[in-house]
Amino acid sequence: MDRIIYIIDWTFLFFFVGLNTSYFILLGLSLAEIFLRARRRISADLDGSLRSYHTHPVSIIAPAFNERLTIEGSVRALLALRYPEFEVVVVNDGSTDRTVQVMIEAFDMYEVHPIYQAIIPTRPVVAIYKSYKEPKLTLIDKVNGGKADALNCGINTARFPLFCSIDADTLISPDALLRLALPFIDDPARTIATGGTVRVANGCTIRNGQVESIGMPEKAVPAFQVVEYLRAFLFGRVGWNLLGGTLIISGAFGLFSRDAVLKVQGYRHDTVGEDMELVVRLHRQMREDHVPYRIVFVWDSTCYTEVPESLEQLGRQRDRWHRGLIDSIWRHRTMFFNPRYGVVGMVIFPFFAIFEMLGPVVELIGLVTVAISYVLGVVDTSFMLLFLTVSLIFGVLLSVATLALEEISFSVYPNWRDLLRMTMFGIIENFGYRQLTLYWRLRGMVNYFRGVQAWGAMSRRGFGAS
Amino acid sequence: MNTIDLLLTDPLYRLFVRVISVQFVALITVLAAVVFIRLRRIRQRRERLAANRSIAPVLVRYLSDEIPLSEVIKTLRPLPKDEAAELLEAYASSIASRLQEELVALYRGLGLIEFAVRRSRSIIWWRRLEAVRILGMLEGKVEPQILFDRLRDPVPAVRLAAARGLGRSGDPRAVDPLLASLATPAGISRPQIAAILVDLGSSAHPRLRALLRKPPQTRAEARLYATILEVLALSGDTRSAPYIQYALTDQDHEIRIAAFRAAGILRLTLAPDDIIMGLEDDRWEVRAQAARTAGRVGLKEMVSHLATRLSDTSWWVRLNAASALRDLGESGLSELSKLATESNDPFARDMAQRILTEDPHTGSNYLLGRGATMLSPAITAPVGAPEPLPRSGIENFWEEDEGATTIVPVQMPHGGFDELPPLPPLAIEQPYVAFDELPPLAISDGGNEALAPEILPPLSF
Repeated sequence: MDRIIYIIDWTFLFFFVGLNTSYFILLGLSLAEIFLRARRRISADLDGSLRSYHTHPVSIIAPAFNERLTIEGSVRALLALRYPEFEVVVVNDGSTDRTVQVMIEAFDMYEVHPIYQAIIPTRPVVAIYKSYKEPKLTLIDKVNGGKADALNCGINTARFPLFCSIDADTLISPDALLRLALPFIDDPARTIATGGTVRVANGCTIRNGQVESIGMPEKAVPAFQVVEYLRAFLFGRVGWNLLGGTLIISGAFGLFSRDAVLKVQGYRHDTVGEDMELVVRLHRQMREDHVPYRIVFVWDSTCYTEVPESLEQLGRQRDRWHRGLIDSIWRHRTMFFNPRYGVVGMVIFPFFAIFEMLGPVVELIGLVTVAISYVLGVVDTSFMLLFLTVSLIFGVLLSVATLALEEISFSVYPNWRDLLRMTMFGIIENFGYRQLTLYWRLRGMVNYFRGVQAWGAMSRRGFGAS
Repeated sequence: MNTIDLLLTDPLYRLFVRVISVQFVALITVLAAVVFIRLRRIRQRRERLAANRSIAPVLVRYLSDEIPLSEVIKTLRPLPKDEAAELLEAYASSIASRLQEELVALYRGLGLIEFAVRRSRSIIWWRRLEAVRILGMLEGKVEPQILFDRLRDPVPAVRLAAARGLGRSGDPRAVDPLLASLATPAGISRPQIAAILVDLGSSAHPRLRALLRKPPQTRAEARLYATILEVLALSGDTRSAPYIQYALTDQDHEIRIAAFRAAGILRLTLAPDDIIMGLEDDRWEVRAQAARTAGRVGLKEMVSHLATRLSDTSWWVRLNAASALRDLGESGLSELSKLATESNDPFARDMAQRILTEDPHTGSNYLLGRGATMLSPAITAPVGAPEPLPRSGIENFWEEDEGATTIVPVQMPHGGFDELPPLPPLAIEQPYVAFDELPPLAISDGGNEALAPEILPPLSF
């Protein structure tokens, strides 16, 4: 028994050291990238790109399911984007609320002849609407088929060579799309996808679909997520991007080459992590076809999204995210430590598989064994306390370092009070919140093996209430 | 052994203590860094705001000749040079074209030109970028050679800023180096160069037209040729019409696409046969562009030919042909209505219906006329196998150019370039360097836009 506990303890220790070392390497890479790019961000000639008649036109696809509270504001923000040529395609995925009616009334829409070319098979389209007021706007009303199906329907309808997938409740900063498109302008032959940073809209003041001022949410649950999102985007994805292996482009905000996505037959219907799965599939396809390509994370392109305000909803979301992660990794397990897939197969995919996918299990086993070891007297109290202290301070350090990255790059929270609260939440999240997320991820894992495919509904407050 | 003893003597415990100590120090350092960065940012914002407030009125008075240059210099002198340059840039960009001399005097008085020259040699790329932006702001009137040199900078942002500076200069001698920069591996992309060449304005037209005299021999040259055709059309150069018309039948499909597009932008009076040839081209991209151009130039006699294209195998050709029929007005709309209801081809019928109903002006009338009964759910079904998807060069179809309204009919001499009228001599008032004095361009093979050096023939007027 002692022997088993000894082995588990050491495995846990190696896992712990490996994970934190990886995080600190990522942090260093992100610091370097952001420090250098902060200057390039200032220098980016957005006005020049805006005037450039060769800037690729974009079809913005916004799938909507029961979004009557937020849809009007979101669409208005989309229509106000600074971009030379774009269209907005809202795909109503069989909403049971008044989403379609709200759109028709708000934008004076009329039904058009529903010609629809199903390049990627989707559920049937009920009607297509155009707007008298906004020529750039199209609304597709279709039978419910899930987010992936709605996105595929939008891709079929999209007229332009690039499409931007967003959530209907996402608010995009006015120049965010232009920034997201810059890699396509710089290197049109190789770039196939770009993703931006997602921030928390709760706590911000929203007017006419635009974020007017940024602030920390008053409630604890979204406040914790502010720090989490910063950590995920500012050092996680920035670091991976520098290594050339962006593996996740958030479904809330990503720009894709329509050709490339059509080549892999669009989003998969049978997964809850369709955004990650698509990016992994694109990597795989490009590597297998020996086509030079780039998938880029553009950290200074920002959008805002409403995050869950209750633990119950948050738990469901995290459960689903983890199921999506497992599913994407399992479907493409052939990439695991496979040199054919380059840095993606040899470094990034294994990291996600070992540390992100299996992390909750290892953490749980580790914690249980430490507890058993303590009960059996294999380790003493001082050792256990020291170990817990080290792991907690690591967590706090990472959160606080993320704040430093935020200050160097954007510094979007202007109040000292917000900065103080962010720091505070960055510290206290290690005492309870992170353990809760561990539980939700474990639950997601169990649900995945039970074959649960549910998304879990999220009730929206609507941006008008912010 | 108690805990204190363990902490002092056991190697593992001592390691833990060390790790925790390092963690604490790191934590405090990072927290201090956060506060420091925040404080510094606040100070910078305040300083910038104050300078912004004070500089605007002083600059306005200087540019209106109310105060001498020395007054402005006195206001700006306390600021670090890079900040002064950045601050001035916001104002200079809007007045640079009108008050160039005053700006040059101001930049010189503040020592910003010497500063830029020094920084242009820096090993830190963003300093070189600052330098290029300062000189670019002065539209290449001062130290233009630095801008030419920086076109070959290893950092893309610097190369692009230099190219933009040269674009603002209106200097026709920038054409060749700009085009050559397309040829270097990881050079400036074709769309960017095209936009910059459009910025160069009419002074670049003679040189660009001269480059069109040599028929392209390679794919790279053909792409360059196509770019030049589009640039000339977008800059409203109606004298390029003979070249455009000649290129409508070029062997290279990319040139034919560009030629049809350029003809549409300039709204050239094309012979119906030219359009018909485009509508029957082997390449669907050319057919699509020809259809669009037919609508733009308003060739009413094309109605029946466009109607035939509504049965094209390519969705884009059908879309453009139907849009063109709509653009042709009454006769086109009447044909569309006929197709929407009477065509035996479901593809033609669907596309005609789509165009008619999507347009707010014709859509409601059409639906009212039809009693909205034609909306059949059957047509939501998949329409068969996927068509060829848009490929590179397809971007040509989507660009709108609301500003181009010049309509100047030009007769095309079908006899070829030999029959073209001679071009006027190039007037360069204050040449800085002759073409042959420019440093040789390093054109490497195998770049994204591999381009043979002979594409740039010597200037001969």
